[in-house]
Amino acid sequence: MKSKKSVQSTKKVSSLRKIKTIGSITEFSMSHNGLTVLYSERKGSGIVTSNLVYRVGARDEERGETGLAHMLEHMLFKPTTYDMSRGTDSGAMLFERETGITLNANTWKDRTCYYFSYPAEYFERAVQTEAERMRNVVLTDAEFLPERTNVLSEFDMYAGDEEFALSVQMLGVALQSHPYGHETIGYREDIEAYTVEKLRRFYNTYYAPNNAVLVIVGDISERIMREVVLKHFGTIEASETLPLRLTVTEPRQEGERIVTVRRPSEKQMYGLGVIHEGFPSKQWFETMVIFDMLAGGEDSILHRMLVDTGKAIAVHSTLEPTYDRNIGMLFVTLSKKLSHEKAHAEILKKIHALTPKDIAPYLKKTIAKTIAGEIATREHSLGFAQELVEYVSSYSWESFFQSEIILKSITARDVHTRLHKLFSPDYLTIGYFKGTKE
Amino acid sequence: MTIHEHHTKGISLSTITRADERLALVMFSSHIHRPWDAYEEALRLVYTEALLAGAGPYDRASFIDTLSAHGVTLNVHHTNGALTISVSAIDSTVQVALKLFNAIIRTPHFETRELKRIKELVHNRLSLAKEDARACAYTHFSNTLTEAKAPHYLHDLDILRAKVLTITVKDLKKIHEHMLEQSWTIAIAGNGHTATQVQNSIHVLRKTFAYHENEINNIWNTKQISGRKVHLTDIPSKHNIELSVGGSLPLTRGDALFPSFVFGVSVLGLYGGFTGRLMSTVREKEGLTYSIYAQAERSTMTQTGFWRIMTFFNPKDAVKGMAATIREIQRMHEYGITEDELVRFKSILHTRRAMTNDSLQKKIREVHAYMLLGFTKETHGAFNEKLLSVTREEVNDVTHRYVDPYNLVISGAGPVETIRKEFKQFM
Repeated sequence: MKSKKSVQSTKKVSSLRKIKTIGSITEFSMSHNGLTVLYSERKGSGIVTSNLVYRVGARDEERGETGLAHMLEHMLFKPTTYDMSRGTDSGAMLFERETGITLNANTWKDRTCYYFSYPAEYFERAVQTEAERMRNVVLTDAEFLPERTNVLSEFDMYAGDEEFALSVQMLGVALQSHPYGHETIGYREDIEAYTVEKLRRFYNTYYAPNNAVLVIVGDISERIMREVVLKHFGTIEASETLPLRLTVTEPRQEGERIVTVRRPSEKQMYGLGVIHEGFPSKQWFETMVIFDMLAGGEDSILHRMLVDTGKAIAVHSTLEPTYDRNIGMLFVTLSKKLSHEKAHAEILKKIHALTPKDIAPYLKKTIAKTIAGEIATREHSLGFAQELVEYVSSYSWESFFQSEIILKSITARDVHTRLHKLFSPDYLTIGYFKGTKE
Repeated sequence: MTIHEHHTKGISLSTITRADERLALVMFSSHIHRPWDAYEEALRLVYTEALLAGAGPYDRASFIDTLSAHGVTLNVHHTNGALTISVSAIDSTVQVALKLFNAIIRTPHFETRELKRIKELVHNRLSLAKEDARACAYTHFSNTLTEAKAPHYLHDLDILRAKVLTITVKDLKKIHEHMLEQSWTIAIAGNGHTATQVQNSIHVLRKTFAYHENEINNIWNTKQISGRKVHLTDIPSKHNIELSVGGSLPLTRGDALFPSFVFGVSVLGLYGGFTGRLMSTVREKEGLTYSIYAQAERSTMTQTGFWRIMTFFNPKDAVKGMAATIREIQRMHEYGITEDELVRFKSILHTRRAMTNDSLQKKIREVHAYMLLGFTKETHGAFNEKLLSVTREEVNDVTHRYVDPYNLVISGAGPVETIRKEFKQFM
């Protein structure tokens, strides 16, 4: 890994330079430390959402340290040096406990984000809290050890779910080199081996303004936004040792990969994984159309073929907006009428028999559902910001308003070609969850 | 956002408008008051599916295709005796959404062939539901406090599975007729134009299907218990033990003490976030669980309810976790809330209400929920005013009475066999 060269500046001049405006979003850059700000004003609601996105996620973790980004996310809610000098509890938690604002965070493959949603009167407090915890969280065993127990509790919550258990195994065999190949929460064995030193190293490496994008959406004027953001982030130095992200090309797959999970359970489940292109490329959207067509509701092909005939109880899919190529998965909860092997045979036969004529109506539906879905998600500042984060984490916020255009540029023939590429037998990952009596 | 109300015989209607809004939302509910038993519960599970299985000029396939082709979502579900149909569209598709909604109300098909498919689907789902530990823990908790004939009583899954297979088309037609005769509770949201379109459609429907006064007893108060009732269900395939812990609350939402109780239980475990005592002690300080919340449930303006803590523990932490939970219940019972908590939670609850102004979808859910509980905009406003002006004495008096560690229902589900003996001994 190479480090970025630092540019030594003798004079720190903080300013927020406007870069560009697309739709209702304006991009700014903080001159001396590289913080990016994406701002979208919404007058009248009285509410603001701020979401600070760090370009660090599961993909940046070493072997033996899986889930570290997520563990660190939990630790960002602990006291900072500022809180300690004030003699208070964690600023972030205090903010919520004193005011009732919405706060949370989440970690995913390419990013970790922290958000507050609050009445506009709390804007400065929100920005100050984010600025303070960017570099100053105090990482000690006293704070870390109980929190690790919480993360283990969270792990157990997921691990008890059959689909999660199956997807972890499928991920592991599908992506053998790329760091997307483990779940964001990590492996239990790695979580149990965390130390404060590992956390500190990760924190010091990745938490810096030049590795962050601050999204601000809501009822706050540009003037106040600039003043407050400059005041609290303007004094934070950029990192001079930010590593460049690894580029990992997954080795060529030569044949389908099959994995089986056996547990005591009533459930029988079949999983089918395919490797798709990164978000938000046209190819990713073609895959979205395919997954919607196959498992996106009661009118979907697999629902009609399997659930309506009593061969399955449910079908659905997962497709993540990741920067790099990743695995998308279809899951079928089987009834007693259909075995795993027969499900596999029937599903692939159906997929390979589809023609562009079959696909065309589904393409239209996906476009209609996407348009309506975006209107629903983006009608409130929290949903708007959360959706924007996924574009930010793929270095492509400019595409935030492009999904309808991209989808309308796709033809049924494009989808058909993509379908056959994705579901080519040699490139599949197949998962069987076999519930047993004991 | 502005909210207007309209109440006549057979309709309670709230309309939320926001200028230039593209979304158009409807939440339509009908409390179906019929004698309750396992067959009735099974019938309602089938009925909610059957409403989406063809109506008006659409068979099931074309109905669902039309929804998707226009990006309209239409869901039907049944909870606590009320059927709810939720519709989400945008301004350019609201006419299509209304056409589909009207078709469901006016002329659902209830075809024999579709009924066969639905019965098999529901039968299979109920089979898997046996491993839903959270639902299982809740069911036994709720049933301990509920009369068997009350519409909240949840029957044994194997019994329901058997009953589902005996549902007929005639049963579906009858329950649908019954639903149409009940009083309707409706919340609408959108811009002025779409809201008017929806309102007009609703009023025409009400004129078509006249309201009939309901004669069935609708009021089912929760049972009182004495001592600690422990129920553990073994589901060995799970990793965590899900828990519902709480007690009877002999207050309706109309009772003068109710706001004080809600305030107290919010301090104990306000749902969502980290503000409640349970989250800050059992989770944060002691690291015993990922989530633990408390709330008052089931009470309406005319019916009492219960209060409930919902959480889960790893089996190795289950006894310690329960000890910590009981400790917090005890602390609330004996000492109530502090002055600092009184001030803080007034601010917290005030902010929570303000946050609904950011989202039309949140707002309609809030309005619809309080309407179903029997509130109007005015009485709900008064309730919230009272909530934000409670005194510490009022809160501590009511929490002392009803947050009672000696009279509790504790229901757990998950891999309980390893800890059953130890757990019961502790309790």
